Amino acid sequence: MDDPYDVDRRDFLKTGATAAAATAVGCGGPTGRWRALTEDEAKILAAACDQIVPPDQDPGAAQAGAVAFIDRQLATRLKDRLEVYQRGLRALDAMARRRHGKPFTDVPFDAQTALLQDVEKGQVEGTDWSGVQPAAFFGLVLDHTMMAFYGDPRHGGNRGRVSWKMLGVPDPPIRGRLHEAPARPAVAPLPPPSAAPGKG
Amino acid sequence: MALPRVNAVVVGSGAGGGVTACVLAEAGLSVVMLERGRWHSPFEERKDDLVNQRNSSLGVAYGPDEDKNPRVFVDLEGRARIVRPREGEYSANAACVGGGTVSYGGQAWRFMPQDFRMRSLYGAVAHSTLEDWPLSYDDLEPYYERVEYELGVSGDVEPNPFKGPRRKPLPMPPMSPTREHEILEPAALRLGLHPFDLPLLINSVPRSGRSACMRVRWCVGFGCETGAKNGTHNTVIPRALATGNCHLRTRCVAKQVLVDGHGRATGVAYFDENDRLREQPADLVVVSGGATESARLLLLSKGRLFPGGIGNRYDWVGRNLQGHTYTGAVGFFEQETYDDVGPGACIAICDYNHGNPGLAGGGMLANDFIRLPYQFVRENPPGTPRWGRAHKDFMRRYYRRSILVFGPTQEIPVWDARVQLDPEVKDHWGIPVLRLSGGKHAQSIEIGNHQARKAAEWLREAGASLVVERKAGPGLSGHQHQAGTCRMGNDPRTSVVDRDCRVHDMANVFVVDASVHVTNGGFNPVLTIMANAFRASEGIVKAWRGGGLRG
Repeated sequence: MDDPYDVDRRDFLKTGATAAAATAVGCGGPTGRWRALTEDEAKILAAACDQIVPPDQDPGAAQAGAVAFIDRQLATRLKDRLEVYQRGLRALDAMARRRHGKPFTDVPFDAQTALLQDVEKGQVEGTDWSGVQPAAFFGLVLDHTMMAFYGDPRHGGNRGRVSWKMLGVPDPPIRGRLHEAPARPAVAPLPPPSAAPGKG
Repeated sequence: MALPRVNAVVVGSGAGGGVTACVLAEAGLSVVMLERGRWHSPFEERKDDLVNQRNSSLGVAYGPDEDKNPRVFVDLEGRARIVRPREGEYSANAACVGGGTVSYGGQAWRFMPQDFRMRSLYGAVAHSTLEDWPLSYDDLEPYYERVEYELGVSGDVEPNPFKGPRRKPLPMPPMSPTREHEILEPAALRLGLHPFDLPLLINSVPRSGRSACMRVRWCVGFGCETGAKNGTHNTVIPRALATGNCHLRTRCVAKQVLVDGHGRATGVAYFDENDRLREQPADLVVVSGGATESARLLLLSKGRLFPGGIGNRYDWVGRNLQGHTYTGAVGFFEQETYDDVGPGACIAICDYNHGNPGLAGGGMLANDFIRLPYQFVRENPPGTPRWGRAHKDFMRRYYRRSILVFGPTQEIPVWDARVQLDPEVKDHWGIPVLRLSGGKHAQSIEIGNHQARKAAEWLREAGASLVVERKAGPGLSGHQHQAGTCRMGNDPRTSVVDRDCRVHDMANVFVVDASVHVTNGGFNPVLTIMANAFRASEGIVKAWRGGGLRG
């Protein structure tokens, strides 16, 4: 059954665009389809998630439902992290406006990367990040995005098992093998790596 | 409200308690087994990769209850904080019928003869409580065999020249080799090592009315949906219940062992599934809650004669907490290594358990058990990006082209690695919770790092183009291999229980789980817990028949 909190990227951007005009970042409670986040928070988060696992020949984190996953956790198991997310997303957006004169979501991809690299290292200026540790916030987004992208779809992420397909993990991975002489699954040819570890 | 008296109360239904309840019930004693968790059926197994005992990012699957069972963890800087079961610092062990044996990987290791005499072998180690067991390997050998045959172990340990003497081979053959096995075995042989099919408490052939392993790759951390994994929940506990002598009460949380004014236990107070306080009178009490909870129950059981808890006259209860220092290496290959054939760990070496120059011990090395995609995210080589395009390329390139070799280092026990009762924090039932503190001995770290180098050598020989060692951290060890907190010994001043697992100074209280391990071997400890439980409970039956335990 479809998860009502899952949206695909196109729906998501559409919703985000209409809601953006109406809602100021960080104000008010959850809106629209989200349980914990506002539409604008969700939009910034989607952009950050796509930095962690960017779309390329395989889907990125946002398309895989990372925001749905994180929103659901922030409304339930990880309720105690909601405030860090709210403050962190607001701070990230403020940092983008300070450095680039526009919201984080409007900053070009590579410049978003540079912003998040600084957040990861805690290299921030001004009062944007008062009340929230940038590196700690980044660590949460990083970890939760990975959970969302690589974890079981039942939690709202990894829509269509995109990461498992990408890794060549048989779909679904949870099932038995015949006992003796296991039939080796056909080994799918891997795409040529575009970078080796160590070469970024 | 007091219930009708029984012969024995066993607190906990894991590896130790399950075996003990079975032996006592089959010998004709009336037994009540208290378990704080519930039954988990193979049919409800859903293998959630974010909620299980191996990766509990979003919770634990087999208990303890996340909201009702906090603990306090004190880090190496002395900062205390409340932790929940899903957090690593909690040192959770599954809380359900069968305990950790429902979801374990089932590695079925006998300790080596040397593991029982670490102090004699290596001498005193500074800042350590390293000691010999009051038992030898030979004392346990017949009971190891009982576990292997009565619960069911597969594998082929004959090629392992370092094993202790054994009378019989394992009852089930090993499973057919996986691709990792085929890559690692010739490399080990070229290095002059002695690889073999490691022992597993998993059916490789149909046995005892249950099926053979279906070779699911997601095994450790999860229950088995076909019942091919042998835990106490599907072997000795059903046997105990079949006698009609054993009553298992689930969702029951022990509060304390009740003690009279003469140093005898009279039963156990516990909260039942409706949170009502009950008293179960008994002639004898067996504490089998795992090394953290067993120590807690002893500390909670205060009386006029035992102001610091039973067995704690010399302040040894809760000390020497040790699990295993896990170290090893990740090898990245140019060839495919992953075939998605489970159950996981299949090939091991014991070449580095002892005899490492200048080091007090060592540990077994084996290919790692499981590869959850989310957990592999963190295996990127140091200095490479953790996220972004490079991360995704790393995952695509290496998830199926890598092998992890890891192993448990036998730890050098330390006095200050411990659990105590927290003075403030209480659980759902108002019972003081555990406070964990301390760290590892410097030697444990040194030995662990030696093991990592050996794992790396093996992987390089196997053709890995890049190898990254995973070294030891200084933090407290415990987790699912938790042990040591109620040490077994002949001297009441330096131990908690005697060699019969009877609490010193207490006529009728026994601790039967890994709490009594003096040292924890360079191996997964469950076979030793079960073997010792067979041995200790035979002793209890003998003492019972002699009349010494009747109240």
